[in-house]
Amino acid sequence: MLEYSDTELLKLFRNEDSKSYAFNLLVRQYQKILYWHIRKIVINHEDTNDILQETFLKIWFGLEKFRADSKLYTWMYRIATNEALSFLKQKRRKYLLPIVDVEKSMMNSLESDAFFEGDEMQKIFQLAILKLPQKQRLVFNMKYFDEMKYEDMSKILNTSVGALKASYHHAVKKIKLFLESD
Amino acid sequence: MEKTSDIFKNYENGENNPFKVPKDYFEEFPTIIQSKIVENKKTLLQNRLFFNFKPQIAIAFASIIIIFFSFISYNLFLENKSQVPLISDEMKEIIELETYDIDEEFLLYALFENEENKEEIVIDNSDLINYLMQNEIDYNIIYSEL
Repeated sequence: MLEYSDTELLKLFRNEDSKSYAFNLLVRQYQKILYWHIRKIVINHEDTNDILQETFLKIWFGLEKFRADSKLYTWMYRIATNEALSFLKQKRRKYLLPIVDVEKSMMNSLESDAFFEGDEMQKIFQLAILKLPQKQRLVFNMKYFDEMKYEDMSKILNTSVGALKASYHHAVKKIKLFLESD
Repeated sequence: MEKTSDIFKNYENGENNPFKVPKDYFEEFPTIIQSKIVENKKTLLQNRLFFNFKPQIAIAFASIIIIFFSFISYNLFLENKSQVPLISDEMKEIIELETYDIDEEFLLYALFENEENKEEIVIDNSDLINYLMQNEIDYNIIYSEL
């Protein structure tokens, strides 16, 4: 698939005749990255699908006002992150669950998820990541799986580069300890 | 320093992602999101119309309720109202004659005109004298006072 630059996509989007075409290109270009980012936060495919749809709806309605003071990718990533975290917050409120139980319910869903086909070692690894505090888990996923630069992460999570590096370092230590103890 | 990827390599099974998606999910997703956008646009337009005209709708609705309850109250009031004559036939006759400037003597005359079998009290002088004597009142004192 031909990839367009941010500027080209924005130009096409702001033209009424090519708006839908531009958005279609945008979806095809970024759907997988955003999907996997959300999936690692909420684990479950159905929830991920709902959140991804909400994310792209917000992108559609917000893209007109996008000022390009950050990269398009960073902006969309931030929307996806916020939507996923809002979803977890709502889930907690809906079922009156404290944050620990939300993570526990996600661990349970991992056990029975039809769309998880990892072996036992992979399951243990995912469980170790789920045990991390929410923000630390985000940092770990974005750094380890998405190989994102700390500068980009800083813009998405609104946290300093130094704090992110420390958070990632602690996350790795905790996961390692968990895996060694298991 | 040990690379993170080396620490976790045993748990990752190479490039294999343990999370899967339904078949053709990513091929169909762009179409699904386009139809969601169309659906959302319609809902937004309806909401915009509603919220733009919300004050007018509220005023119209409130007016209808006020008129409705006023109508019901008025009808209930009319049903309970009894016909009470304000004036007697005699007064009605006077007003019809347009005698606004009514003379007091005429009023008195009108009041007593219809009195029937009125008992006239007649006082005899001898009765007066008897009363005075019974009550030991000196007639000459009263006469001198007058």
